[in-house]
Amino acid sequence: MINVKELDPRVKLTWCLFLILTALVSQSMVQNGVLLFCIVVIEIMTQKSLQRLKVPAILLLLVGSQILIINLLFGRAGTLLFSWGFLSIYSGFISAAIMGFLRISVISLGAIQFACNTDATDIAQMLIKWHVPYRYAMLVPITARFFPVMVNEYKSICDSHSVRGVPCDTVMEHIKNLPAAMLPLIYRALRISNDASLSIELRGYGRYDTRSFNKPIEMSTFEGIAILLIIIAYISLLLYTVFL
Amino acid sequence: MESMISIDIKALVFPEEKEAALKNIKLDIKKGDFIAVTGGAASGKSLLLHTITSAAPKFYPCAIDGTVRVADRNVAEIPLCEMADYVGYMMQEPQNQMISRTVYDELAFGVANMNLSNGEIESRVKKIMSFLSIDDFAHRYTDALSGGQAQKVVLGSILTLKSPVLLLDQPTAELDPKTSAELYRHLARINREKNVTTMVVMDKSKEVLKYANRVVVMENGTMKECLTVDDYQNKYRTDTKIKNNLPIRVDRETDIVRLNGASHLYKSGIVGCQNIHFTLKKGDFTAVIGQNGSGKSTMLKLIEGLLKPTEGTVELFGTQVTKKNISQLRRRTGFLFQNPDDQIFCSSIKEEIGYVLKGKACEEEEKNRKIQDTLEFVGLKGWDEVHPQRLSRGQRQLLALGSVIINEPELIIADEPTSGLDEIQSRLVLEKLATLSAQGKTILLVTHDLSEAKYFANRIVVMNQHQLILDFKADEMDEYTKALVEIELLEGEAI
Repeated sequence: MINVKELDPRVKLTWCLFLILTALVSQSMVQNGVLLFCIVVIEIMTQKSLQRLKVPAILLLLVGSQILIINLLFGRAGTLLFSWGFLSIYSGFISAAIMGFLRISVISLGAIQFACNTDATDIAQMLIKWHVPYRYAMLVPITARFFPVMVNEYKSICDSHSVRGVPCDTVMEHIKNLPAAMLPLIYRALRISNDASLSIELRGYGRYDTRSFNKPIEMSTFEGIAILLIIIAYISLLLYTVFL
Repeated sequence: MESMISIDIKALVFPEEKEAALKNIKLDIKKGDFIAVTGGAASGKSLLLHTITSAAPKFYPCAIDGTVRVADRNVAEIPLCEMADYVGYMMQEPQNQMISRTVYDELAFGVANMNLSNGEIESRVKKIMSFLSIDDFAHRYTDALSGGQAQKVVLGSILTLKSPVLLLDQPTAELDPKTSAELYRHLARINREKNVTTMVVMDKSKEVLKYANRVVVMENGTMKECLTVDDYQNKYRTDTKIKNNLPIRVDRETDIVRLNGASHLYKSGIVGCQNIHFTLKKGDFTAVIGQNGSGKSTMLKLIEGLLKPTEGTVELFGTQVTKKNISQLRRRTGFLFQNPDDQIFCSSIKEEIGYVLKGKACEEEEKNRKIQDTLEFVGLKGWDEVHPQRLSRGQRQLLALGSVIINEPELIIADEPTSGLDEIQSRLVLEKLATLSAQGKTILLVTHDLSEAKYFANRIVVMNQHQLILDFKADEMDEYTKALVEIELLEGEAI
């Protein structure tokens, strides 16, 4: 069994771009459905569960319901079913909404899967291979490291607001409290970034044009062929969509 | 002996500041010296270290009249990214300095920047992991480390660089006594075995004095004196511990807090605290002590309703805490966080203090009177319009205390309010808590400083491995020394 996490990041990026570009180009509901199925299969293969996609799926259902309403009100595909004043409903609104939902699902879930299955340091190495100076490429893993730190900082700020009588439990309360939470959060973010940048500078960051990596990325012949096949598949799909 | 650091600064001035932040400092540090740096708030201790790393002026722009030399080289001529050849620098908050996801990557970060081979990196990292006894968590995520573990990892990431000088800014400010002692033992070993010149900004525990050979005393940006440890201890002897001399009156009939077998298991599966049975009587001044990660903060959060018990119940003022009544119950409590910056979000001191009065049915005049009274109590009267971030950390902690007590809470919960503060600032915060206690407020204080617990509280409870294991009167603490040593909260010494 292939360990997706161990694959070269360039293979995973090519696959992710294939999903996104195909979803954008394809007019077929079946093709988009197949792509979504592939994402689900990969998730089960790598994670043995769909738990990681639970929250994005809920959000996508919310977005999907909005797409349905927009298409119901403004969709003009198919035949006119009902008309009253400014409101006209056409027969194609359901298929257009499903198509929109599938596209957004493939694009967002594909990108999430790439981000979750690719180590941030591997992304940095990939960028270095593309001649991005390592000082900038390393910002990817540094950002990934500080994301949970900032989430914890935000939680502790919310806790301190809660105990002073500013409720911070529901989503609406979080939104309402955002201006008050932003000031200490920005202050903390500035201090953390200040400390972190001094700390890395004093540990020789940027001293040479490149640096060593614990696990250097190296593309195998199999991975090279996989990239080639994905590109061929995309071009074939593009030609099929344009000419047939 | 060979000179390692030579400082000759006539003045260091920050842009748009009239006063020099550092002035008239002449200091010569020999190879293998172990120097403790001490001084009051804003006395220039950290800035002194910044001049040695050359972060001031390269990272923090300022004008320096004078020179700093490390290993006979003027640091002004060395690029910041090459300073690792000369000094290793560890700041106060370890989580801010770790930039890799795993411990191994963090330890390898500096040496990887040196472009060394993977074999050399691995060899250096493994040696350091073994030296610091952190081999077990090489593949752990850095954001899941406890305070002590994080300090060791940051120290390790600096040691892999093999710099001849080690600079540390209050490295144990947030650690429990045992972890703190352990870290200083490691530093002493590095100093002794590898002949690494070490300079440590001393925190209030003074543990570093066991290993230092000289003490630099800073005052108002200048070096007041440089003494041997014996001379320093004779001159600045503080045998008389600061005590709470105010009366503590406990009403044995009234329960303020009651935990009935309360437990909390975090979503990640980590145990916060387990089966806690605890009662806090009206007027009690109780100190909670325990190692880092023993569950003290989780217990406080259960009491304050910030976390729900996964088992058992929590009662506040005789009422079981539920989602519905927690807002009402919180009006009768005040929670002082370890980091005052979590709590402060207004743009002036007056606004910050008066925040909880917003929307309360009381006259504007009455609100102003309350604000002024509180400002006077916390010693910030006349600072009404000053931005909170212009205050020192100790003053910000007092401001946070003011913003809590203006609501006249019956119960004040303070989670390590003196961590990161120097002795004078800590005393100020504790004296205010003692005054509030004498006024009849119930105080629950979490602290790592056992002398604070002994001399300010009337009762001490001890947490160990997520459970409350001891509960005794503060003046009986000496009788429990053996038990505290057994749970590694003390290192076999009396307080």
